[in-house]
Amino acid sequence: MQRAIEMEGIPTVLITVDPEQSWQARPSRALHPVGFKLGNSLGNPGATELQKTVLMDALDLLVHPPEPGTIVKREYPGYALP
Amino acid sequence: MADISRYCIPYTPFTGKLESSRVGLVSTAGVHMKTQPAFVLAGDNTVRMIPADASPELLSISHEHYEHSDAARDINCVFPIGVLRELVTEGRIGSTTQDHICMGFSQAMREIREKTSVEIASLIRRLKADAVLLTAG
Repeated sequence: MQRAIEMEGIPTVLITVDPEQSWQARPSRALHPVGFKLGNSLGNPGATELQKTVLMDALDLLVHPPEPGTIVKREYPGYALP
Repeated sequence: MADISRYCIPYTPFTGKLESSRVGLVSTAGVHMKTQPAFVLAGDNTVRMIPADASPELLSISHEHYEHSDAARDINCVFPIGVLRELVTEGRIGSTTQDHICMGFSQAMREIREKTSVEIASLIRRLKADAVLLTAG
């Protein structure tokens, strides 16, 4: 899906909690919040500031892109494991 | 879509500024409006257009392949529709697309690659997105 959108000339960035699976699709840009569980891609429910930080970190990969295909790992100490 | 090796990584540079960009959201988290048909849980390659100004209580999740009790409490856990609106209000992104796009669970990879992805790419182009954020569950 990401590939099809990029081929339309629109840049994309993915947030993934499953980097092994995402890597197989060779994402153009991707952020992996380390330790976030499935169903918490942006963080915990109600944690608006954390969600905002994760989202802005993802969008920042558009402005400061790593090498295409790289999944950038980032730690978020504010994330509370259930 | 042109047929390219799966080892190639299609890559469009982002040349604008976030503060003046229109950002679209595309997700496979199974989110839809309560007024729209639910996704078929065993597998569904159809898409739902979700108005970017939709209130969370108007949204539902039809997806059995991730634990979505947190997302049922706060849809932004997987589908950051409200966070994007806040970023617009704060001036950190220019705007969002009028609609966002979501699909549900599917393992029909060939159909996704050859049909659904092309449909979504076409929709997002018509929504005039400058950039797209993708999320899963």
